[in-house]
Amino acid sequence: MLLELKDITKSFAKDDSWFFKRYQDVLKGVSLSLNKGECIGIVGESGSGKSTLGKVILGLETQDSGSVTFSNEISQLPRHKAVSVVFQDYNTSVNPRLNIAQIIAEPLINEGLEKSQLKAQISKLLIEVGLEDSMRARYPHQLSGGQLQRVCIARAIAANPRFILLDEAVSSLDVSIQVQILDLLLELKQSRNIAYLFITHDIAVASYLCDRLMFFKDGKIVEQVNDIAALPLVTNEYTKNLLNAASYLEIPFDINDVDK
Amino acid sequence: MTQRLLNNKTALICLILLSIICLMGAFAPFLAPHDPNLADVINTLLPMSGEYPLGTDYLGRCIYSRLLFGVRTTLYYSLITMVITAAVGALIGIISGYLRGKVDALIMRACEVMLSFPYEIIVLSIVGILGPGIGNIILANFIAKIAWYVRIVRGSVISFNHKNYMLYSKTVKSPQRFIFAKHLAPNITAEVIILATLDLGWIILSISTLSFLGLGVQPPTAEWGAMLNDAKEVLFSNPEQMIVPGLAIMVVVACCNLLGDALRDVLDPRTEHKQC
Repeated sequence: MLLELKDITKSFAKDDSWFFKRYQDVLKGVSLSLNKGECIGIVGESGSGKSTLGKVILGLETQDSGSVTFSNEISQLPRHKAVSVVFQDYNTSVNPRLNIAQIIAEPLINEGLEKSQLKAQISKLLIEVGLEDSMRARYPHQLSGGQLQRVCIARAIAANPRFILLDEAVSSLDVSIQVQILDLLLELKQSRNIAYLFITHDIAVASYLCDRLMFFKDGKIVEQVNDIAALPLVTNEYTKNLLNAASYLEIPFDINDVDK
Repeated sequence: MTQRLLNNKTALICLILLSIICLMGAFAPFLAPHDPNLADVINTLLPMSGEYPLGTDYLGRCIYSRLLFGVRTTLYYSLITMVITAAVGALIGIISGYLRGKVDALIMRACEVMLSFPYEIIVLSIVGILGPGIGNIILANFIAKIAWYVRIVRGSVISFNHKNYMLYSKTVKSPQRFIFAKHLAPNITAEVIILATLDLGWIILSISTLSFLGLGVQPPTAEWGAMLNDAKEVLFSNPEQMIVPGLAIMVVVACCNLLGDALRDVLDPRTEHKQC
């Protein structure tokens, strides 16, 4: 076991005035465990609390109750070698004032790499994520969305972390680029034995990448699918609706009608 | 950034013009042909000549010499006011935006009180209470303007704190000094420089206006606003006396405003053309 969440709850103040406060429960007792090298997909609609769960795992938000426990092996590592993250919005994921080399260098600087080592390591990472070494001097606004997301992935894997949280990491990309990025993530998962927690609203994308799926609604896990092949056998009404909607969106018309 | 500055003609011209004016002020004792405060009742209101390049005022003082020495009072004091206000405002804004909570609430309420008064009222009240003089003008402008800087910097800090690259740095626990030096400081500095440059023109006008009203730099010290005040004595008989200090103020203020606008482009790497 690499990561274990036990009964996580989290609420935010809805009306935060001086005289009274009202709270909204965002996470209602979430428990899950993630194994080494495994990929779990958290699938749910917008506003269901998926990203808040991600922030709690990353330590960016503090849970009201429950525990987030990393394995001993992970806990003993420096943070940048243990955990990393790739966000949905690649534009705000990188500092526009830094060039690509400086962006990827951040976790490597944390690791204490010398300047000469940095250069070689950055080149290696750029090539590993399918970019050219010549892009190192470019600025984020000079890259396309897909290239920028690859830069974010290069930064995420730079310090060879054991766990990466992918928060809607491909949602902002067009479909052809999505597949390329998903293939890259699968390749990196196998070559580096990284565990992913993949937060998404897209079942198709999640089933492409993940070993297990957890369906999230109103701050709690409503159904868990341990075998992607068993996805059509889900029992929860919400999960069924999600699956139906996904298949409807994927094929919204009869393909034979296109020529008519 | 240097390349972007060199490519931006507006920024370059304004910067060169302001630098020349600043240097002229610095070397005023060597460039000025006469003592700027020396009255000569025999040579009053003389036209341009070799001895008096811009003529003389109604007290017979050399306008060119007063214009050169006026750079020191008008531009230098404005620069000092701008630097102090921007630096202190940015520092308080960073503290407020970083700490949040009660400290932030307290600072923000104080700013709101300060911002609820019109700028001119604050400046005139402070100068009215403390009396005329350049020290009091600087203090008045500082008090009147600081709330703007605090609010803007505080807003920027909060906004940058929620950017994903900051969240990434916090996730991997990059050192605070790294986050500040690489992410926060460059972004905030760029915003403060743009704001301060635009504000410089405003402070020049404020100091000149107060001097024009007799509340700023006191006679016989040369100051462009005070020169305008002197010229109003002969407004109908010699209206050209207004032109030299008026034009000087206009050129410097326009340069500051155009420079502020151009720096917005220069300091933002995203304004470059996309390469792919």
